[in-house]
Amino acid sequence: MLAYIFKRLAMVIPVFLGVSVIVFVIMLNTPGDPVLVRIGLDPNVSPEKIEAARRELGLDQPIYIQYFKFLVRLVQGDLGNNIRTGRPVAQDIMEAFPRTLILAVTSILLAIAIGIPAGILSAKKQYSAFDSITSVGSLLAASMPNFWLALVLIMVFSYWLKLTPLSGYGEPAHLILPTIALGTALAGTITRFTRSNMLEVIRQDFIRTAKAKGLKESVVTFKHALKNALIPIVTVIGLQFGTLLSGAFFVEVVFAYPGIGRLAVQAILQKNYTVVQGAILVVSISFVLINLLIDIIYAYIDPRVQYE
Amino acid sequence: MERKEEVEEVPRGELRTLLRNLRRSRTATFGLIYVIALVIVAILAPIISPFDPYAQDLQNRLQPPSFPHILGLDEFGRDVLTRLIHGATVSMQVGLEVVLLSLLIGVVVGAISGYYGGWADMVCMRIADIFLAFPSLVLAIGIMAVLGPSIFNVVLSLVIVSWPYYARVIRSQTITLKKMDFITAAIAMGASKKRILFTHIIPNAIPPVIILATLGMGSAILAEAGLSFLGLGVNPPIPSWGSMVASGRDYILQAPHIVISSGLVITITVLAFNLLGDGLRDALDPRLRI
Repeated sequence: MLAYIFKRLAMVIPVFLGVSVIVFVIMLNTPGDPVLVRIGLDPNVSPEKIEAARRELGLDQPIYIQYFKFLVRLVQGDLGNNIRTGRPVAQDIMEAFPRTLILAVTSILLAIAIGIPAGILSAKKQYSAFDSITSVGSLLAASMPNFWLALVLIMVFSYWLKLTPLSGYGEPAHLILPTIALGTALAGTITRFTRSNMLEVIRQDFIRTAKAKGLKESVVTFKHALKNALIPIVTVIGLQFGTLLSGAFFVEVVFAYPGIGRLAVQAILQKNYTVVQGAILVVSISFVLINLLIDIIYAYIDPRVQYE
Repeated sequence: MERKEEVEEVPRGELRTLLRNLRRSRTATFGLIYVIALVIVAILAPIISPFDPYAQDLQNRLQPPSFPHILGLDEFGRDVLTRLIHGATVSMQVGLEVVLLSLLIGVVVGAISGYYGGWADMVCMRIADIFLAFPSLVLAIGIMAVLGPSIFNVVLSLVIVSWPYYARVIRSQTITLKKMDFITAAIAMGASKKRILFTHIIPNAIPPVIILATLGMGSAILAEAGLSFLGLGVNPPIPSWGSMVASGRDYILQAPHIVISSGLVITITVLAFNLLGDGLRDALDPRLRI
């Protein structure tokens, strides 16, 4: 087990480096001159002052040295300063990211609560009307743009029925609509995956054996089939976590929910590139870490994985 | 996961069987008909749309659906139906370009990786892993933030985030095919490596990717709508479904028809591609239909 964990950890390091290179390259090409941003738009600025600012920002050095310095700062948790407020970007992100994680967790819980029972029922009653409706419904859920669903939810529940707050953050009620908007697509995906996995598992020999032993149908379904069908779902949720983080960029904007997605989108519109860079890095690195964690959990639940 | 993507190859002569299998499923048939209709609408947009997509009627702005503006007018008094029809052209163009270019890169990288193996495989797949480490829309948003909104940039950013998926599937297909008897036979007959790769492996690796490409059309259209919704996609005033949702958002109470109609079109379009993709999977690989 330890060997497996080390092996997976070793695989993550080049991925992190690659991610940092890509983000660095993207940000090298940001429109606008960081030197001018630094010294303001003074038309009478002397060439010496520009040169000094360039040196101060480290822009006079070759690119690979700039990257190396960027990497060193990154490892120290320094994501630079917010160009507009002067605050460290890391501080902005530390504030916003936990809120996004809360939203992601509630969305996952909602998706599991709907997706797993719906998937099991659908598989148990294959080809029934319930199965057909669930199949199309789950695909529909996964096809809907979450920003549109968010707007429709606001229209119905906030404006017409006046049941939920329009937008914002602070009370649990503020989480309801964003959770539905973000969790619906995942619920569809989990339903489909649970259904197809259950169908695959119930056709296997050990299920026939369990039935032949005279075990009750419910025991076979929940103890034998479901347990085996659920293991791969852990991985799917891990992979879908990326989609969820992407989705947060849209849902947070619609609900004015102050998470990392809204922070990043606002920063883009204000051309506040250090914040954009920091947000993309943190979101991507956490996505990699979550998948690493899930791989390790998976190997623990299903020891066969370690030997592949 | 990968095992699910592997599907038996369909020889060219079996296209008719494929279509027959596809027609057995009502949902897949719906997907196919909708997609064909959408392609026709997208091509004929300038001819079939009832009004000029840029013509403004400021006196009647936000007018609810009525005759002759069946879906009403938007915030500049432009005909919503006309703009949805022209938006289809943008969506289909972005979808097709993203899928074809990603497929091209995916086939080259995946086939080299799977066929030659060794360090070439190692390098290609590590690069793919790095791109897969980003939540894909987050990376696309970052790229668009730097490049600025335009159709070309949308296509570029979405190709950058989607090629690794195609490369991976092509690679695993290539590895499976490489071990098959007909390849051994070709080697025994003295076929060159290049010939085996181009005439035997790549053509046979393509069919399963058709499923991925169909589903990819749906995701590309959804992604373009999302980027345009955030103001990072297609530049206004070019009609795009996503930016129509965004501009309708400010008038959601006075004129809900803008948001509802444009969002529904995105949803149904993506659903149609997903239904078609699912149907193709079942038609190409009866094993998975269970």
